[in-house]
Amino acid sequence: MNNFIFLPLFVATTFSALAVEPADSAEVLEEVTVKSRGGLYKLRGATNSELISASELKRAACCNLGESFTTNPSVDVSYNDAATGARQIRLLGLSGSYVQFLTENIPNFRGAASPYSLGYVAGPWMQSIQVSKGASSVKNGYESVTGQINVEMKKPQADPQLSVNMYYDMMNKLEANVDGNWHFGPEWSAGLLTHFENSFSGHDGNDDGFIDKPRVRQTALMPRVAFLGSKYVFQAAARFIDERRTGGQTGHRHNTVTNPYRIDIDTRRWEAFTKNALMFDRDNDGNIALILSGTAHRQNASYGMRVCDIDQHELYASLMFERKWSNLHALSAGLQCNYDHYRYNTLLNPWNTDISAAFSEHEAVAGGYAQYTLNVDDRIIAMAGVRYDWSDLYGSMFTPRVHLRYNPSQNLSLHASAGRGYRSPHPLAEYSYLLASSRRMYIDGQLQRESAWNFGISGNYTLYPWQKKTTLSAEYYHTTFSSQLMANSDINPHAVYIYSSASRSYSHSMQIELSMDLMSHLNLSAAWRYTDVKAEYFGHGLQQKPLTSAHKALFTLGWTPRMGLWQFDVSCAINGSGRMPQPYRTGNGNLAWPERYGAFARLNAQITRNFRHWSVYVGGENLTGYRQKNPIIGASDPWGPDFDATMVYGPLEGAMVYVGFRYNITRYL
Amino acid sequence: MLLIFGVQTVQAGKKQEKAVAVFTVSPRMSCQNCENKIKSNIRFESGVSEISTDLTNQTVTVKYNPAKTNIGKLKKAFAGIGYTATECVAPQECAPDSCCGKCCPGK
Repeated sequence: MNNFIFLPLFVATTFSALAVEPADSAEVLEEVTVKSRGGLYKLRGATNSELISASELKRAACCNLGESFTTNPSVDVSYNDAATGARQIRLLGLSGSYVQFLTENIPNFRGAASPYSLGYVAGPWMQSIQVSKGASSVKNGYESVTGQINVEMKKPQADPQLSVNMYYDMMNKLEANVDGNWHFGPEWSAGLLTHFENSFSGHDGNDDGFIDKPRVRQTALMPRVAFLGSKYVFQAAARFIDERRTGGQTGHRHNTVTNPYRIDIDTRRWEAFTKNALMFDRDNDGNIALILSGTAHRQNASYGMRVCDIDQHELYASLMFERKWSNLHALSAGLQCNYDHYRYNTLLNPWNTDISAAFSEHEAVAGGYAQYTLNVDDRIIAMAGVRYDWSDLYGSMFTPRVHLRYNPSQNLSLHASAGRGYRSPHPLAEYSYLLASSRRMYIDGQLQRESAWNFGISGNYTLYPWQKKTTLSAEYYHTTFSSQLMANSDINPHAVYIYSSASRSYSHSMQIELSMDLMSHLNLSAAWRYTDVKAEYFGHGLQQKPLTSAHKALFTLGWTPRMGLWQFDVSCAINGSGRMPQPYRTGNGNLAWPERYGAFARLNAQITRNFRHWSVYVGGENLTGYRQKNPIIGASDPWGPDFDATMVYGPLEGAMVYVGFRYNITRYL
Repeated sequence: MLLIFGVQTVQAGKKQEKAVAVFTVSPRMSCQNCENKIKSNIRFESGVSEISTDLTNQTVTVKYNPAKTNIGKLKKAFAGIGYTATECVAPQECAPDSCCGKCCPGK
């Protein structure tokens, strides 16, 4: 059997950098599983990873990466603020900036792209998403603290197909995606992925004068090519994203506002990468791979009178060597270097007669790693890796990471991990959305690199009561920071202070999940997660992190009768209460906003009908209609000192209904 | 997991008759990927009400309504996705190099 046709559909559990990976202890998934979908696929390799397959993504509208975690209890997606549409994920209780984002195993969406990165990958482009919790492999660098999320896009070497997807919702947003791939002979293949979205009108549901979500117009294109030879494998791809984002007081009702507050964020992003792998010893998975990637990101953003224009360039190169010895020992070693250049043009605090500032920063990092994996018959897998990097700004970094997987039987799997991660601080790029307020932004001049340790244990147990598959999993992770970048909104309600802190900052995260096949086509899953995230906030002592719920529960129900010709999916997330940043007292003695927010639920549902070449779907999000009241403080006077759109804890829109269709023709080789 | 050799007719009360057919395919199903490809395509054939695959024994069991489809149409459906389907007969009548109901070593 020619392995190369099916290899791209295999998912390696240890994030090998190869363009095509040989199947080791990987789970293999295709487009649609007809029998019961048992929730997420927990992989049984060296790291604690879950796989979200393309079929799991189709349980919800999943227009882009940000909406792909609706049925995943580990990853939360929330809006950073009520005005820009920037979203962040949260993993193990900590912000998404501590998760390393990878696209096709190459670090991506760093710096200026990170606040909006969840909108840069269209749903139909994705083949699968791997979420790895805890300290991950050292192969991809030192930047993951709480985990890694790797997105694999549709590959040109898969069976040639053409897909069209269109989506329309009642907020007047339209999305269209077309992608296809072709084969030219047995070795060459090419593909093209395209995406377009536009919100034709803004909607002000809570009558505060501001549209609830910014209007976004995005065009994205990704051409790619692959060559799969018997000894040499080559892949190249480019991606172009053009996005125009408009928010603020642009609602139709406020034509009479003489000086409307507006947020305009224009982004142009270019990416390109190439992967080359030479298989010098096929029988032992021996290969040398060279990965090169470059990014140019230009963002022109204005928030009222505040301006933050960023020009970011990145270059990345990685040379890796891998080999196995009789499936028992595996060694991976490599050298990597990375260059980041940022150029800023800013006007941050116009009320302080702040003059506009133009400055640039750059950082070059070079390093190497070695990782050894011991695999005793897939029953015991031990992986230990060390990394040493040197940065011209922050000096040397030593990153050890250890994983241990013990599978005493087919049904039980235990995992433990420990490791360290580092991050270079780029507050203006990553926290630019904080400018959607009248809080003065003060950034300390002496920022340190962030560093943290992460420890975790987890276990999965599968049983078959009444011949129905039931999976129970539990995990605990602890992250502790030696140095963390703080964005402190508690010190002063009219300012945000960004500084490096070596004081206590930690997160405990505990999660239990149950997934049951009630009948052969009916799957129910329930999960509960408790996170305790505390840090010492200057002037306030050890406090719970604001705008984070300590408890979260997620229930999902999936029913696929008639061999999956129909799909019914419901998910309900319940978020517990949490604290808001320190409020102040207004003139009449009341608090400007409540000190705590209460628990709330979010209910989503979708019905899909599958035909041979088509599917049509209709669904709704936030069907209970809960929405954060007054997410924008001081909305009546956005130019005044109290304006703050950054204190968001919950949904910003009420109930929403959408429809869509998918069309696909595949030529099976 | 059913291992039914030969075509059987199951009477289900007043409802339409359901027939069951067991096939082996070539090229063989090497992994869950192949199973899913077969299941996700054959299910659209009119008259098919259930499909199950067995990787170990290399069989595909299809439950169908003989009024709407037949063995020939099902074989054509397999051909459409690149598989040649052969009906399974009782084990003692298997030719030496066919794999009805059993995994052929080394294939």
